[in-house]
Amino acid sequence: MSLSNEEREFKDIEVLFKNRDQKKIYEQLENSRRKSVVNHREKVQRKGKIKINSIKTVIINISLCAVILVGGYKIVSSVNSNLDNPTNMNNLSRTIGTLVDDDYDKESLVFNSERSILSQNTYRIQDGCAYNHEAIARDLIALNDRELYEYAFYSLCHDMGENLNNVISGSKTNIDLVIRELKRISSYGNSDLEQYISNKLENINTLDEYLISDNYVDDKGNPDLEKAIQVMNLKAEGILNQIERNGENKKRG
Amino acid sequence: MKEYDIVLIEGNEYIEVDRINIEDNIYVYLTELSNPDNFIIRKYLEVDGEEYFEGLESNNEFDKVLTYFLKKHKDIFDNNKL
Repeated sequence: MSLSNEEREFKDIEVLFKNRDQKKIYEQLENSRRKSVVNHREKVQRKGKIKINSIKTVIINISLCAVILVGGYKIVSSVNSNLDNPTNMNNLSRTIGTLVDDDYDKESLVFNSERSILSQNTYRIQDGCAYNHEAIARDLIALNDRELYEYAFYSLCHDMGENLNNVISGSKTNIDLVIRELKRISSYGNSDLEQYISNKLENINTLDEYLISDNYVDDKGNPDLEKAIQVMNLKAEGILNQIERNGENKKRG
Repeated sequence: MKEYDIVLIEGNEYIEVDRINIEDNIYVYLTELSNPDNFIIRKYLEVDGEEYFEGLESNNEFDKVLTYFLKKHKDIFDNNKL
């Protein structure tokens, strides 16, 4: 079922607030760590007592920082400031997802769902959720368009959020596993995109290597996902318009 | 209504929220009185009858001790998260 513009805007606002709150918690965590890891010992000076009705809010506040820590704060540190305006990326992510969604009615070109590639390939398991990395890679390849693939790849990184760099298998993170599957599947394919991906990923195994190969690096030459997502966010509107125009042309033709 | 200790650390007043014993060390979780968003963790020591707060040695120690806090208060957190 398609979302109305109003519902879509509301969802974007929700994401905006979620990301803003996450950034705040991350900063709080860093601040607490900095003030706690100190080479300092001092006598305990008691200043009296305070009566508090419920300290639950404080406990939740500290626990939230621990959750960020357990959930992979490394990714938060690399994306926390690039999500100030995620609207375009979110729209692009959903639209691209629609192109490869089984619910997409290719005859009528009606988008029956508004799910990103990531959400289509996320499954509930006993302890939470898991991604099907192979299915994600297959969906990216199914886009069959180099430019769209590049946007979809970074859009996927954006969608994974704090789970992007979670180590899943050995030293492989979620996104590394997607890269591994992209390499594997494209190595025996013949389409233009499969050959493109196969060549591109020949010496790439990690997201950092991917970013460096695309020249998304900071002043010191370190991989910079934030920069990549900022660029994609700027270009997303143009890509959305292009997808829309392609759809219109197909309808006419 | 419960009473909590207020202690002075580096000139700022903190509320002692909790203590957890981890691997023979006592860790104290403190939140700043004037800004409850700010919290710190200290190791509690008793030397020759005197009480001391000592800073943590590494980020790894901080991370470990913080996750113990979550583990202890998992129920409160789970029942109240959005």
